[in-house]
Amino acid sequence: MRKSDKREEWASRSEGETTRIATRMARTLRGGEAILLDGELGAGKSVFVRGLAQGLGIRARVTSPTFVLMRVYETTRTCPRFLVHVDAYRVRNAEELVAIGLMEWTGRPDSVVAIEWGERVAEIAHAATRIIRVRLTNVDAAQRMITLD
Amino acid sequence: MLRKRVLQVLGIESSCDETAAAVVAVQRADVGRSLQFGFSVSASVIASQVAMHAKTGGVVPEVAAREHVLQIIPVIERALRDAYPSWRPPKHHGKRTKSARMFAGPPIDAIAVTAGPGLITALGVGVETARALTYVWRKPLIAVNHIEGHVLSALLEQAASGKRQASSHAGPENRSASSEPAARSLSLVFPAVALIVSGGHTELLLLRRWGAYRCVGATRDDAAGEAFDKVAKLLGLEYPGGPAVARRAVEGDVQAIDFPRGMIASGDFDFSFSGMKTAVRMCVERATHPADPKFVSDVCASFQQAAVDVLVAKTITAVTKYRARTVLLGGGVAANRALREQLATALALHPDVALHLPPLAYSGDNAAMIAAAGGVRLHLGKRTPWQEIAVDPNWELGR
Repeated sequence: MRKSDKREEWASRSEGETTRIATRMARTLRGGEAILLDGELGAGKSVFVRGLAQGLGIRARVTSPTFVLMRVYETTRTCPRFLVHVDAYRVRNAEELVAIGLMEWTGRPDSVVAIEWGERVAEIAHAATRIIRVRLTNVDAAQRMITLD
Repeated sequence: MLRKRVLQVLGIESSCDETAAAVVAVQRADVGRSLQFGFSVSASVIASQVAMHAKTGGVVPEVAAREHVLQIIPVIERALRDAYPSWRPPKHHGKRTKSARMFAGPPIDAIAVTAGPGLITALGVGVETARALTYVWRKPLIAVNHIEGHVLSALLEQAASGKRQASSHAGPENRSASSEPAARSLSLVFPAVALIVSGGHTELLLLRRWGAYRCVGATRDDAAGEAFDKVAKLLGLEYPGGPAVARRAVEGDVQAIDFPRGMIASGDFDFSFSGMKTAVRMCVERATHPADPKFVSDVCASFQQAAVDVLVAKTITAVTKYRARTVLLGGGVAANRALREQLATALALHPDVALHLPPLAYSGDNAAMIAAAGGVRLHLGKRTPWQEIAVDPNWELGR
C-alpha cells in the first residue's frame, strides 16, 4: 500500500460541480484503487460516484447500492474495466462485505472499488494498490467541501 | 409439455430479508381470443429476518445468508404440508423410509424460484435449494425475476389468515374450482402499467401482454422505500422505516413542510428520491426541537406526501400516454395507505382503468407472487433447465 502524498481540497457549489470534480479524478485512475467516501446522508457520496462513472465512460445508470450492497459496472476503457460501487451504510464491519465477495474486486488491476461510508470498513481496502479517501463536508444547503487524500 | 389448465407451482423466495415458500394454483383460461390467468394461493409461509435486523438497523449480508440456510427447508416443508395435508415429507429414520418414499415429491407440477435481482448470497440459497429439489423430484424449474413477482402480486387473493392460509382450501378436488379472486384476475386488460415500489426498487413497467415487460421509468438514485428507511433513521424512528413513517404521518400535517417533488415535471417516467432525503436531513438539522413529537409527525406527513405525489403523478401520466386499461401496484411500499388511497382517488378520474392493489400479506416479499409468475411463464412454455439456472443479482426486467 502506497500512501498518497498529496492532499487536495475542492469547494463545490452544486451537484454539477461535485460531478465534475469526480469526473476529473476518474481520469487519474489506473485500476486497483479503492476509494473510500465519507460524509453525511445527502452530502453527495452517490453524486461523486456517478461522476466517477461518467469519467470512466459508463453509460449505465448508477443507482443506490444501499439495498443490494454492491453493483458492478463495466467501463468503456481498457483499464480500469470495472467500477465496483459499494455501500457500507447497512453493514457493521468489513467481514460482512467479505461475505458478499468484495475481496474478489479490491486490488484487481482492472477494477476500481468505490465504497460509500468507507471508513467503517476501511480494512477491506488493504489489498488495493492505492487508497483514496474522499471526505464530503456540508458547508450549507448547496455547498460542499471535498477533500481528496 | 405440460398441457394442464391448472398448474400447481411451488414458489421459493430468498432475495433479501424474507425466506418464503408458497404453493399457488395457476389456472389458464382462453377468454375469446385473449389469454387470461387466475391464481389461487393454497399456502404461503414467510420467515422474516426483519425482527433480527431491527437490532442492527439493516440487513447484515452474512447473517442473512446463514439465516436463509437455516430457514429454507422448514419453510418449504411447512408450505407443502399446508397445501397438501396428506403429503408427508420423508422421514430421516425408521422402517417407513423406503427409497421410493424418500424421493416421492409432493403433487406439484413445477418449482419457481427468485433468481434476481437481490442480495447475491441470499439469492443463492433459494436457487440452489430449488435446483436440488427439481433434480430429485424431476419437476420443471422456472427462474423468476423478483420484480415480475411483485407485478403479479396485485392479482393474488387475500390469504384467509395473515401469512398462512387455511390448508383445507387446497387439495386436488379444489384445484380447478375457479374461486372469486381467480375470476377477478381473469379480467386483466392490457396494456397495463405496473408501479413497483420497495426498499430496493422504484420502477414503472408497461405490460402489453402476459410476460412482455418494458421498463418505462425507474429511480435515478435512491429507491422510494430506501428514502422512507433513511428518513426514519434521521428522525430516530425504528426499522423498518416505512411503516414507522406512515404511522407518525397520520398525526402530522402534510403541508407543514414543502419538500421538493424530485423530477415530478421531468417529462419522463424516472424518479429521484435522493434530494427529498437530503431536504429532510437539512430540515431536521435546522429544527430547534428535532425530537418534538409534533415536528416528527409533520416531517413524516410532509415527506410521505411528497413521495406519494411523485409516484401517483408519474403513474397517471404513464396511464395516459400508453392508454393503459389496468394499473397494478406492488412492492413493500404498496402497503402504504396514503399511496393506495391517493392512487385510487387519482384513478377515479379514469373510470375505464382498473386498479389492482396487492393484499397487504403480499405487498412485501413473499413466495406466492413468485409461484404465480413462475406458473404464468410455464403456461407460456418457458422454463429453466436445472443445469443452467444461475443467480443474477442485477437482473433487470424489461430493459
